[in-house]
Amino acid sequence: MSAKKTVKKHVEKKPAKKTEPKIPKEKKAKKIVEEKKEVERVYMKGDLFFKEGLPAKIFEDFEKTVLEMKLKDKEKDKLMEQILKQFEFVKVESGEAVGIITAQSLGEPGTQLTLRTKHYAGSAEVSVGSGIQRVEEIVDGRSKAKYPTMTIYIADEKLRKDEKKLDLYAKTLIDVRIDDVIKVHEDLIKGKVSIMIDKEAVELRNVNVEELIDKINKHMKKDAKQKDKYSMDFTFKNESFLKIRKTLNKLRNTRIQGVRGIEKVIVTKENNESVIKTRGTNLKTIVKMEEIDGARTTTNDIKEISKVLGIEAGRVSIVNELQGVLRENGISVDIRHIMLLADSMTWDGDIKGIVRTGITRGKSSPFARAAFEETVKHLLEASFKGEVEHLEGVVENIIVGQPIKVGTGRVSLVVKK
Amino acid sequence: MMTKRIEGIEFRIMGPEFIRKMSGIEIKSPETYDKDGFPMEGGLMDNHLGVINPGLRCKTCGNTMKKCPGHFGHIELVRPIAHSEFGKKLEILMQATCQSCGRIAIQADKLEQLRAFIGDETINIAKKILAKTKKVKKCPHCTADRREISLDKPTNFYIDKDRIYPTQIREWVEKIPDKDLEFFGYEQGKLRPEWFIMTVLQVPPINLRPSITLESGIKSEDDLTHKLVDIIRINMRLKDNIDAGAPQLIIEDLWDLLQYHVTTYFNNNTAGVPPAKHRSGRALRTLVQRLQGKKGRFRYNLTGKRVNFAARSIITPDPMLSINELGVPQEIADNMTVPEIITKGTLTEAKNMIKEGKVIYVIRPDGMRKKVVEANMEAILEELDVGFKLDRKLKDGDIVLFNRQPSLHRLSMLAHRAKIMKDKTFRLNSIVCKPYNADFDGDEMNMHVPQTPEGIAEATELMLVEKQIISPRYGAPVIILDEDGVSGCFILTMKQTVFDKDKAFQFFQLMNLQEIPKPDVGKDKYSGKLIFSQLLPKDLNMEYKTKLHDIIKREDPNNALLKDPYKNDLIVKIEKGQLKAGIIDAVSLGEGKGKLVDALARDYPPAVIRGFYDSISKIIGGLITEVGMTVSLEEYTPSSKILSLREKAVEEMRKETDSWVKKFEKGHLDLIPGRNQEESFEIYMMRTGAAAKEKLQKQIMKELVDSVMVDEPEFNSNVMILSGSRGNIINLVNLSGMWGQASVREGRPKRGFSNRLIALNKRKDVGIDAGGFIYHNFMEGMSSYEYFYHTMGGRQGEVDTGVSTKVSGYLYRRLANSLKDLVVNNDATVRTANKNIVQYKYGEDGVFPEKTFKGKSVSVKRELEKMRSK
Repeated sequence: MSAKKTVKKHVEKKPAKKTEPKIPKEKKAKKIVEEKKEVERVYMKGDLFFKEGLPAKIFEDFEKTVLEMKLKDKEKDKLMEQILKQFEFVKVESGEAVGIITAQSLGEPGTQLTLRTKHYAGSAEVSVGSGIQRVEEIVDGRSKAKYPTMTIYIADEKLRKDEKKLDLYAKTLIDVRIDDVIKVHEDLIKGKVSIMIDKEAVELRNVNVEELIDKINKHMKKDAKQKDKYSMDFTFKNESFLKIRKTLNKLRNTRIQGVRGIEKVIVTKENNESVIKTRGTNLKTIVKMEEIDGARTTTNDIKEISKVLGIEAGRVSIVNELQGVLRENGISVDIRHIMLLADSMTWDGDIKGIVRTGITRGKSSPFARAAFEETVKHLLEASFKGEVEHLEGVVENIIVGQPIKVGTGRVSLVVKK
Repeated sequence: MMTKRIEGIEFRIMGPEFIRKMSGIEIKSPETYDKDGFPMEGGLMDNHLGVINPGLRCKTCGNTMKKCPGHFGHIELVRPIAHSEFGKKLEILMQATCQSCGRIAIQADKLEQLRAFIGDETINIAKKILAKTKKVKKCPHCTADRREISLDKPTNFYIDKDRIYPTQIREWVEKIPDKDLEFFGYEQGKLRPEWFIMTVLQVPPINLRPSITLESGIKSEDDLTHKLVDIIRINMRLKDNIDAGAPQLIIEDLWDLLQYHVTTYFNNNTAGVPPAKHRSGRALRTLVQRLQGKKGRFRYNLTGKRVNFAARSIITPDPMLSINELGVPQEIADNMTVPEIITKGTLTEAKNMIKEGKVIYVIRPDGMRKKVVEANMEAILEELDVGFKLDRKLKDGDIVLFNRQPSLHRLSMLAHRAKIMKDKTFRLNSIVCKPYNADFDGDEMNMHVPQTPEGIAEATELMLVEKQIISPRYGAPVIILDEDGVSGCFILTMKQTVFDKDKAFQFFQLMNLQEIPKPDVGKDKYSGKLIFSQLLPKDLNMEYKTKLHDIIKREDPNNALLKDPYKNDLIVKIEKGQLKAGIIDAVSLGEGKGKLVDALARDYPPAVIRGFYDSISKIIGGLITEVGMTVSLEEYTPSSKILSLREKAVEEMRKETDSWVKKFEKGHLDLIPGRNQEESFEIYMMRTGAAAKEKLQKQIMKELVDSVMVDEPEFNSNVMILSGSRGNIINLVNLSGMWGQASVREGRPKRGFSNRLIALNKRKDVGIDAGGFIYHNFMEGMSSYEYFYHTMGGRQGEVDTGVSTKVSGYLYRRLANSLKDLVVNNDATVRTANKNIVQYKYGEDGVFPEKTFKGKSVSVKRELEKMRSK
């Protein structure tokens, strides 16, 4: 639709406005509200969006400018006309090979990406892959990140403001097994097992000692002889060594505190807000916790996000993670390219990597698959299934020597008779 | 022009009947040529298989070499042979079916229930059936016993522990009814499993395996032919043995040998089979190897098309060329042709061209092609008429494509207008180096000449350099001035730069000005700003901060210069195409920023930005030579102020690090959250080292700004840093301050001897000097051990670039391969080749990044300004 037509419609609506009484000069705030109404009435935001596809952001900019510059009706119309004209101009053309442009936009600066693993400002222990390896990780759609990390936002106001408290709270998230806080002496011949609680380790992880002792007792199914607060003795009678060992091993592996998978935590500031960064992720459990702002808390494990929050969240997370890496390396790539990549990885509801087992395998053209990797496998498969090559894609047509159906190859000339 | 288009290609497996039907001849003899060098009748080089020698006629189709497509033959195998690539398929079938009746070992009614799932679910159903039938001991249909089938890859089958031979397998799978096969994805009428046990082997036409005659006259055969000879030999021996009634053992051995040859004929890299070797020990390249991999048929030949009308030479710069132009060596131009059809209007011109020797071929309307030579020129001129086609030599103004590898993005191939020049290199304006990523240290580039009107039109309208200024990656200019271009503009627009009439007129002449402006600073004196202004369109209005403004503000917010930024040239102000204030630097011209070039490329026709670049590159070389931009050692000799500052900074640093070391050794270090003693210590040491360098940097920066803000500035590397054309302050600190801490992977170097970096240090010395701190700068030179520390950091950089090009190259290939089919359709959706929707609207707003302003589709402010300026 051309820009002109819609603008004309708006102009037609104008006479109705003229009959309205002038706005008396009252309080500024009220005036602005009314002016805004006026803008909105002449140009329906929704109308513009649906008919012209004009994003809300631009419309808001327009409103702001109109109010700021105190534009008159005539100028308003002209400005909107100009905006719509410009918007029409910047639209993508039909047949544009956006996929290839995206691949080039991400592939060409690839050599500029750094190779190393960066550490958070040199201060925190949470390291995050950055540079080309991280890009590969994201794009491959791997199920496990090399450096899984979470950023946990706190909802509880008191907790967020009190750094000491937050630090203690953060520590309770660490996945602590009993083995981490005890030392065991076994005397299997006498059937004696003495467990000593490591005082330092307990403090470091903010573990409640009473609960720990309770848990140990419960697990051993015996009451201990308590020498002092930090050591306990158990005696086993008539039980095989193997069984004692088994119980002990089980005890060692029992989680007393924390969330499965969280290895380390650290409290840092992010935009003047205290947040917890972790090594190891467990979105599903942490998001449900009471003190935590589940809406903002996130992990860098894309597969996990899409599993817990759905594919759309996965897509957003691909975009965010990729953008983050590129920004860190000072490479500017338009977000539309990144979105296209993310969409092509997620459009069918699963996260598919840019690998031979991912997107390429899903292609229906045997030639396209054969030209990428595992040539013979795909040819054999195609002949077994009796597949038909329809020559719709780019390589397929290159292989048989025909013009490709992209860009200028999509149109043809017809001679007027 | 394309008249026919291939609709589709169907893939199938050929059955034995089909192979025999399409065969031109049965190959029986292992000999290829007879004594006289003629192909043997019934041999592998039989003329029924096609002809590749000129003059001969094909015995199958009767055509000569050019027209005969080649024909397949066949070998009748004495005993059936399993196809190695389909072993797995046979195993599945045998595991699921009964040997005596051939039915799937599931009760008939249950099986019928599953039939509904055939289609999309076939794979899962097949798996399910296999899991169910694998352990069934008795066939539910004929109550025969079933035994376990196993496959010793690729082709040996066993029932329990007993070998089962292809003949038996063939008998078995022949019994399986079509309707049962459907569960495993076999389409009725198209495919039978017994075809996987071959009774006949197809022989490819000789076009696929041509023999080579060496200079010595010895004929050398293709690998495939060798393999086929082996197969025929063993096949014959097997036949003779069977006919002679040889013992079973010998026959089985020969059978296995035949199986080996057929297996390696298909794939000489089959797992578990030793590859067949050539006499020289080289492994043979058989069918699978021919197709697979980077050098295989698909990637090397089918997708890697080769072209005519191309040329390659070394590139050299020429600032006097337009960015649109390409200097083409005469020799290349004489060997490149452009087709041209003669019309009424061009007939005389064409005749003149022929007379002048500018035409290589004349093509008559009936397709006859004649080379124009002295002897036949008269006759050709006589004959020439409307409708004839010429292949004329390349001339000035012709559109050519220019390309540099690696072609990483679409800007690696741009269209230029040819300009024929003497000498033998391609010449291009150095501004276009950027998109090609080219330099002139011996780079070679390729030129292509489009041959069709469509190609020429496309190249001119879409690919011309002036139309590709803005990057589709981020919506800002990529074809930009850099290095001397930016430095030159910086010098030109400094307020100290004033030229007298003579010099100014030289510039005006180079810029090809129509109107000469009036002198603006005193009599017959022209300011650099005025000269620069002549390059701008007359209705341009802009205002923005310079790079220098940001530097000064960052380093010294109270600087007096900031009080009057306009007067001190810290803000660029362009009014009606006149540069009123400000220095033109990287903010105006550089990558990703380039505010001025952005405006020129976006708001004006392409000719404006082209004119701007052309004129700049013409004058900047002369200007820089004129004012003299160079460096001297003196400039990098550190001032006494800096030296004493360094002395002090290092002393302070030593004190601090010593205290860290003490604390560390006692274990009293304040831990950085989440780090242990050692890690924290390393971080503290790095930070302290960096802080010392920082102090130096501040001082050097200050001196740097001061050095340019004087009445008669010196034009040296300081200009480069301040204008943003090349280098940064750290380079300067390294040259005349100190290098500071050597770093490997974001930390102090660690590897070397045990507990120390180099043998000069004491063991377990963790102090600053033993950890790779470099106190000297490049001007002074480093001490020997400092130099060694320095190389440690350098090595990391070298290794990293090597690794990352590899990794990113593969990443790029994968990205391109999976995204290449995504195209915007007429309904603005983005779809794959199968028309699956990937995005409902490209980029969520349907806007193409190339047309955006750094990603922003419409800037209301800009539109308002544009509206008002009208």
